[in-house]
Amino acid sequence: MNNIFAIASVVLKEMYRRKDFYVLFVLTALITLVMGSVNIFNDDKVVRYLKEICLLLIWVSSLVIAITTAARQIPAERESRTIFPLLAKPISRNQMILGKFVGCWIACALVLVVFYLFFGVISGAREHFWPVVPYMQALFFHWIFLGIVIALVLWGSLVFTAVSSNATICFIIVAGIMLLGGHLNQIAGRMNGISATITSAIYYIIPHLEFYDLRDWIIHDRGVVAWGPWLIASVYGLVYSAIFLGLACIAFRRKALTL
Amino acid sequence: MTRLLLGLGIVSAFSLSTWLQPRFAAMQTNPNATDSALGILMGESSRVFANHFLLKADAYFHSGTYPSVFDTVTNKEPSAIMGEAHADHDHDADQVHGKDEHDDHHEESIYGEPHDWIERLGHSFIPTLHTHLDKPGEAREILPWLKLSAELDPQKITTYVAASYWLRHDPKHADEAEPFLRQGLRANPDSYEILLELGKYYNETKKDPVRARNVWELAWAKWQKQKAADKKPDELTGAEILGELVKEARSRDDAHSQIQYLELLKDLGFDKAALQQQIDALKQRSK
Amino acid sequence: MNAVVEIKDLRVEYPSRELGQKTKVAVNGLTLKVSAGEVFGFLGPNGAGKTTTMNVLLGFVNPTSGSASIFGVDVREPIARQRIGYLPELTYYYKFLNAEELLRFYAKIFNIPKSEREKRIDDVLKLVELDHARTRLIKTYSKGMQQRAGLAQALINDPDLLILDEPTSGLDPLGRMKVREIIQRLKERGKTVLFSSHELGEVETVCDRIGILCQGELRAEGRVADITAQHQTNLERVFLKIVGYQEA
Repeated sequence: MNNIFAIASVVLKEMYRRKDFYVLFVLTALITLVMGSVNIFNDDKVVRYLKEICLLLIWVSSLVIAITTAARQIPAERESRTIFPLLAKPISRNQMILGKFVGCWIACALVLVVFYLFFGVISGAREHFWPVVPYMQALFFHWIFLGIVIALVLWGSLVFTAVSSNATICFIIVAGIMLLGGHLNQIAGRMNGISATITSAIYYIIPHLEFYDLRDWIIHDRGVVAWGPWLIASVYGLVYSAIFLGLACIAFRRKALTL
Repeated sequence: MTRLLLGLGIVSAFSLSTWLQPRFAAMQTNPNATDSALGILMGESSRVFANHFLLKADAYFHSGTYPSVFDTVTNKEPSAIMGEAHADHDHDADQVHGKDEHDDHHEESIYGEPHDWIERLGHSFIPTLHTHLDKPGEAREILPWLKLSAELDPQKITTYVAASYWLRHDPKHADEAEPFLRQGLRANPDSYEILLELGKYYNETKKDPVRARNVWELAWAKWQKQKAADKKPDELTGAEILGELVKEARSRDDAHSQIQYLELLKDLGFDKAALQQQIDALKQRSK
Repeated sequence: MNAVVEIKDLRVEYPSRELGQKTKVAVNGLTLKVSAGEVFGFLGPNGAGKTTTMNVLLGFVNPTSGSASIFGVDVREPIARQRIGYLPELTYYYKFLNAEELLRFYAKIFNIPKSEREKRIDDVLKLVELDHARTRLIKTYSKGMQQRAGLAQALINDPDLLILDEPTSGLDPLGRMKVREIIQRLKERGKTVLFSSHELGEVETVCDRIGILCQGELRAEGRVADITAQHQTNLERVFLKIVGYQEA
């Protein structure tokens, strides 16, 4: 555990010394504030569109941060050869993968806290209403979602050679699941034969990332999400993160490291 | 090196300005062209986004409960909130300004029974209960999307009509309807739909039936012009214009005008027998 | 004396990139012992198998056959690396860290107690003469300073065995001398050092024993004086003869 947190602390240091987060946060804040200053028929109480834009920017920014940060972790260690002095220490490859995961995941948690605080302030200032519990539920779900994405990207970084190809493929997979994942059963229902079976199998195999998108829920003030399903989906997300991490550990263990 | 870069910069700026100038000039002379920075930036794709934002407004009106294309297809029937008219894009204002036949206020799930546990779990995290923004002032939430849609596609008449409906029905925003409709009219000078809406604004909001009648008459003239040009104007809207004119003439007790408009309405083919009955009654009374 | 490093009949094969050849033998039947307190020099031309042997000792590469152990623990176990310090040939460290943070990170991995950690960092930075630049980002260091930062990280756990892969490669004469002095000091403190080098003069000055590797095989092993006496010539000529270089 000590090794895992030591590696995670380095990932966090890298995160706050790089400019990515600051740039994305400033961009998000700027666009939201500009959109907030647009005159909508002289009504300053219109809030839902602002929440929608702000949340969309938060989702895109956090996804970009999670994918780019996780995708470069192992390749950057290999490219800069920092992996050699590191693995020459009493640390296993599994611990290294877990450390990278924990680091990226904690970094994302911090990023999300900052983003959601901004979101809370912006929406609260307009509607004078602070639904703290639904916002916390949305933040936690978002974090679980990023956990699955980070684990997937870490695995991808051991399968694909180039950082850019891994990041692009993972981005497409995540976007594809978000848009179509939940509808694959309906699509399969309209197919016949082997293609229906394959589509149906994909539907049951993929992690249903769309669960974690509570944007519509909080934009339209639908209250607190039922705790039972919320808990089940959280466990479901953690299981998928563990599966992808396991695959990453296996892939890394099989990889020969040569100077 | 610096001089070379400076020279290159000046040449690029000059080339860019010569390329942009004729386009800008053409845009200023074309009343149909969008003049918003967003529209210029997005080019032709702006129409796609405009349509998306119009649907967004519809989704907002139903508090985020909105079926995807897959749900609609699988459930075989148009969702309760979409209404039959949604298949026809010209009528999508109907959903936004609440004219759909399913304008009930019951809270019910639009998705039906889930097919499997994944779908069942997924439904816990999206708004599935069908509600409307019907509390006072709540409908304001759809206005940004309508405004954005109009910015991106000034030719989308539905947007002006829908926005105007909501603006007129909110006492705080009623006066905003006219400039928005005028903006729509500038981009669509032949639109009888916008004129119909403008007439309603003068009649209901401004209590100025004379001005309303003038505008509706102009709307009817535009409708006829389109009919003559074989542009297949919407008959329902034509009937609505005539209906408003009949009501206005009735308020003045002008039987002659009423008969004239009812005859036109009859020509459109709507319930001829009932209309003839009304015409006969009016003729009888005026004798 | 106790064997710190023990290699028995080690064979390492890599998948070959040449057509018609499935594998390439990097190390072939290497058997070697390095005793406690010894400075052992690994010599050999490029591609002789020096780095591969070190990679096996560090657990980066699994042997095809044979075995290797450090302090009696199989090198595949992470715990075998608890008492090791390693300096790779080219030192690149996390660009966003300074020397102090880098050492603190490695100290955490060695599980050095917090109370002892800062003192150890001070000592090591003084030893490699980087105390004045401890809070500067490593990316701003000169090559010599980076190499010394590399040595510092290799020494943070006060290792009993140091594995140095061409530690003076690419350094100016002053930098090389400083590294040699550090190795000498470590030797005086009873540390075992295993290092590879192309610099025969350096090997002659610092090493107790040497091994000359060629085409993955150990061709000569022993004290420098014994080897030169056996071949009745200096180390450079012995080396050239063993690697098969024919003088014109």
